[in-house]
Amino acid sequence: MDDLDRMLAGSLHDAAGRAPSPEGLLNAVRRRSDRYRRRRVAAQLSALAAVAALGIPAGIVLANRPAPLPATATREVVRLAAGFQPPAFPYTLPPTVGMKAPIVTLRDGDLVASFEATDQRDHADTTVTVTSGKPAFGTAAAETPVQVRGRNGRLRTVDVRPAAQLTLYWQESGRWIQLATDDTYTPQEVVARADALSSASIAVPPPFRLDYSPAGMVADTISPSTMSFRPAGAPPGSAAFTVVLRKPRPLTGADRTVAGHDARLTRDAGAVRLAVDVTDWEATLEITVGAELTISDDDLVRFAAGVHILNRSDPE
Amino acid sequence: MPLPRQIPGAPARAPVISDARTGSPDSFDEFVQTRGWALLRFAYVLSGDSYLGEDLVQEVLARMHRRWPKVAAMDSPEAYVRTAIVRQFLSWRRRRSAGESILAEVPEPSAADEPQHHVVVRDQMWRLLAGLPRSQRAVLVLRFYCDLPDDEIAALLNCGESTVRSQASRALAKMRIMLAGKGARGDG
Repeated sequence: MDDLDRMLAGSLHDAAGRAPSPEGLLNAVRRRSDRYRRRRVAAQLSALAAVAALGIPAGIVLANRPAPLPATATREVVRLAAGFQPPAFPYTLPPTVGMKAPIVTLRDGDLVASFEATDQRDHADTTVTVTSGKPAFGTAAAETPVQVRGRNGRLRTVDVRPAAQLTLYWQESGRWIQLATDDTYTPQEVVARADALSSASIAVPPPFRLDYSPAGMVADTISPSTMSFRPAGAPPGSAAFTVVLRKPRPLTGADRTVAGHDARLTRDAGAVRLAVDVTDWEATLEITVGAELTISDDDLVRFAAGVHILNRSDPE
Repeated sequence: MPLPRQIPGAPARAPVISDARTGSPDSFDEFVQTRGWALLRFAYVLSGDSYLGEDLVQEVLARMHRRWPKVAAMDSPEAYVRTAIVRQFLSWRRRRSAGESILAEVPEPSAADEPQHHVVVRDQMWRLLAGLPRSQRAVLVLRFYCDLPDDEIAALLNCGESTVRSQASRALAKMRIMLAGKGARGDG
């Protein structure tokens, strides 16, 4: 070690003494961890959707998209119906010490139940997803055939640190089911957990209470920030009527009020949008109706006025 | 404040946190409470910025929090955390700064026999470090602060030992030139 090396080592150790104090570190880490946990469900689902989209050949993606509207097509008129009935997740795992009750969401038509592990020594977070189509994966994995619930299934293992990811998927009652967890469980235990799934009806908790919903449309996404709807015959993921709670955005050119909040309604060839500055939630509520639908200004404002933001919401 | 040499130390030399390896619910808290300052010092020296250092440590620990039993079961949880901090630092720097920064201005040194000379020289070194590319800075910190051998640095940075040597060599050569230009002398 020469002079420069010694000076450098000395400088680095001197500098370390000026590092921030560790006071409050644990609380800060816990707060950040909690924040990530709250957003994890939505984030995981987004990633899952992105991976699935990447894994599907472009032709299939294109085939699944709603056909572009012919210039002369008649746009479906949105009528408002009273209230909203959220969809329900059709399975559950037996209550287990060390596992929380499931958090259920809907993303692009896929129902997802996340079971969080509180005892991470013997259990691991487990996600069960129900889709209408066969799942597509974008990550290379070892895959083995297994028997699950009396059916043929496949168990995928992605070898990553700190824990290998295990995903079991199979087809049942005309739909595809995935159970994803990590190597806290052995492959046999993963299959056993899938075998333990029982019928249930767990309603997806929406982020908003709706006085009105678009009649004849089905919910496509329900997450802590978003509720979207698609026409009943349209493929999953083709939402045409979307309500999103966003972090506050400057609202310029307000042209009306909605339930006492400044709002701006804009129309262009692609869509009609209503942005509402929800100051008491420090957020912006955006309602977008796609070009394939038509809605009057009065109905759109009436719908917006009937959106009640709930505590469980989380702006994106 | 004089710092014990083993605090930032190499994975194999870091004190074993026995409870952290049990995976008990409290082990994460204990790990943060006992090793938090060492991690903060490491992240500060690595990044050269107290806010970024805090952010690095909080980010890495928050992401590991819920997987802690898995991390604690590893041979050296602290080494794993430190590796994650380095990689997070390199990743953030890549996002935030596309290019190499200009070497910081070095103040004129005081005479070697003045009492504050050592402090001034070490301050010069710190300023020069701030001007190095992130990868070179990381190599120097791992070598001279953590006392890691080149093979362990190479494994941590996921590169070859020759890359570690060349990065260190370039960084030190650059610092020598800058110091020579300013007339600084060592204290050793």
